[in-house]
Amino acid sequence: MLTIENLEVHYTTDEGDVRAVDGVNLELDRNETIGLVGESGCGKTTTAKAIIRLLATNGRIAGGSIRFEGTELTALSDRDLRRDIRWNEVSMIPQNAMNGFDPVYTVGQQIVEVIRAHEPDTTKRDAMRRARDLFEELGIEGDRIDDYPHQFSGGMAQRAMVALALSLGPSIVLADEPTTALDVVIQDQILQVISDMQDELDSSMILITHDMSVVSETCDYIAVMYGGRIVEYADARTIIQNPCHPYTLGLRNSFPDITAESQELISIPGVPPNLIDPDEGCKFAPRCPFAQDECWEVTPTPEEFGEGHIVECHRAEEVDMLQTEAAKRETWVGEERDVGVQRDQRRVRPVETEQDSNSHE
Amino acid sequence: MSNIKIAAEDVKTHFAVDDDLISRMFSRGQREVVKAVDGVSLQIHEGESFGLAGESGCGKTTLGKTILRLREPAEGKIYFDGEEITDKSGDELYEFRCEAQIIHQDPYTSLNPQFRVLQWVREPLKVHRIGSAREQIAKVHNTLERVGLRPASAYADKYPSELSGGERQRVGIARAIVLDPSFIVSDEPVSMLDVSIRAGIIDLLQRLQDNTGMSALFISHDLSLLKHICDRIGVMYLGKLVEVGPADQIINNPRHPYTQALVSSTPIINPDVDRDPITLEGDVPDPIDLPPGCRFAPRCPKMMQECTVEEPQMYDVEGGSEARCILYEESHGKSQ
Repeated sequence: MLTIENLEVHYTTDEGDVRAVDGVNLELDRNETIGLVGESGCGKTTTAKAIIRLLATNGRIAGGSIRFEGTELTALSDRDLRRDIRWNEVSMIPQNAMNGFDPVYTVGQQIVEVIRAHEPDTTKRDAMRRARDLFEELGIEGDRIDDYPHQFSGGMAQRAMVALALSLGPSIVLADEPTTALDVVIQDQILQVISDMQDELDSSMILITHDMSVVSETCDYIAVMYGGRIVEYADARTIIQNPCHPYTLGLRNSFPDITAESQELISIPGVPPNLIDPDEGCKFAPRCPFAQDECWEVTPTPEEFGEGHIVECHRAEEVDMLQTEAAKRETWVGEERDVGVQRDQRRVRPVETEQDSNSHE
Repeated sequence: MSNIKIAAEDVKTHFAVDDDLISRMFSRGQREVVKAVDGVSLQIHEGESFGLAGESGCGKTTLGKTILRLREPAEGKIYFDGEEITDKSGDELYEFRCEAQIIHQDPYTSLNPQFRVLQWVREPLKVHRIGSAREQIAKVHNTLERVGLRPASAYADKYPSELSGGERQRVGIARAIVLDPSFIVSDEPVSMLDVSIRAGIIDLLQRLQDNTGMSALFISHDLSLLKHICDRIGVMYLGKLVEVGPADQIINNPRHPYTQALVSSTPIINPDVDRDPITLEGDVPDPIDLPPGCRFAPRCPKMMQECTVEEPQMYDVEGGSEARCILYEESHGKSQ
């Protein structure tokens, strides 16, 4: 349904172009959920925003294609994209619901505005009724539709945001850390609500999060991103239980497992790569305990290991060795001392724009 | 059992609402208060890591700050090394401040952007007039190395804006430990950081504790994390502890219905474990106008009629835990 090929997104900054997304390939089928995981700055949000062109003003799609049911989205005019795709077909649940709503309008007015902007024939009354129904399905009292955003608790605002994202029955929902700011009890309820609604509408989802346990429970497939590329892709179980890429192995090490009897948390040393004019070679090499000469010199290409399991690593064939060694603390800690030296690799963030905080147009 | 490092006895911390002149004139002294911490007793032993869990707004940060006298308790007593510190002031409070420090949640806002790392970490030494200038600087360098900012000279002259999130948090930790405290409160020390960096900070805190024998209070909403780093965990709900016990016991065998709901809602990374979440109805009640009886009763899946009558006390349950729930009333003193 959605095919992303070789997508490149660049942000223009004073220091040069930041290659935030640098050749991403992804396929999403109907009623499928893909999780995008990775550190902040790895390009996961940028990838999602590029699909419906909600990039910050200094960002642009520099190459590649995004096809939605045969339509090339990168070639659409802004007007057509807004009218035909954005929100009708592809909607987005932003991370912080409180910032996503306009504080001076009631939540109901904002949902009605969205519905009527895309369906001019719908009357206000019908739109309001639909919003109210959605609220009730999501477990909020229908009458709260007339409240202002500040009268909502965080969990309720997030639910209302889900209502807004689903108000036009989209085929794809892009959920950008939809529950990161919430407590576990509410997080669990919201994820449940999203997945119920997804089944009902037969829609697909791209879930962006840094929480491995959430993707492991919610997603069919997981794409692990690093430095603007997908470094490992497979079904959720494979990524969690049988990861091959050293970065995925490192992420697994650093994530506490509530069911584990005892577990040693090991962090990945170093800092995320500088994405301005990146050098040849694997972007993870500076932090990778398994990096060899080849890794520094030649950029790895995606290779398939087993059914639908794609890894971008020169040493992925040595998977048994990688998994054994990566589980040991010595493997990672030895390099920690050098970390302070590569100091000028600060990340450059995209300029926050109004579009970011008001992404529900 | 080892000595008790710090103890709170029925501590209450209240915040007044509607504090403007007009409402004060008309309220005739009866001001509404938010009972952020509403009667908490807790003991942390020497060298122990105690985890405080609960949803946002349950009062865990306020309790942590009250224990450090960064908030004044409305009622109750706080003991440090067996000595009461509830009403201490001046030099005596200074002495306590040398011994008890805090690590803040947000490394992006808790560092003064105009201070260089050296100045920021050195400030506590200056305030407490410890050592000569030369000694202070040497101490700062030594502390920076201890928190993993090596070489210290590469960091000392940096401003916070030149550091990554993980490095900033390390600077925050350096400032907290530069006085060699014996007790530290860590308020969500990693929740603002990226996953891959978290483990490093957690590891650092654990190593510092192992090396110095410090006692620690970890405040976090992340039960997986607390299970991993704490000896004991206390679960708070609306200003009260509802369950306290050994970390493994709280996670593997929670007894209070609220703890059960909390644990069962925590997503599990292991795809082989099936989770059956307990759904809680409704929202957390208004902390100004608390429900009668057990404050969890309105949302509790096991609510009985008696629950709304009287506030339950802490009962001993199996495995060395205590739970504030009348389900365990009969079993008091014997294991279930």
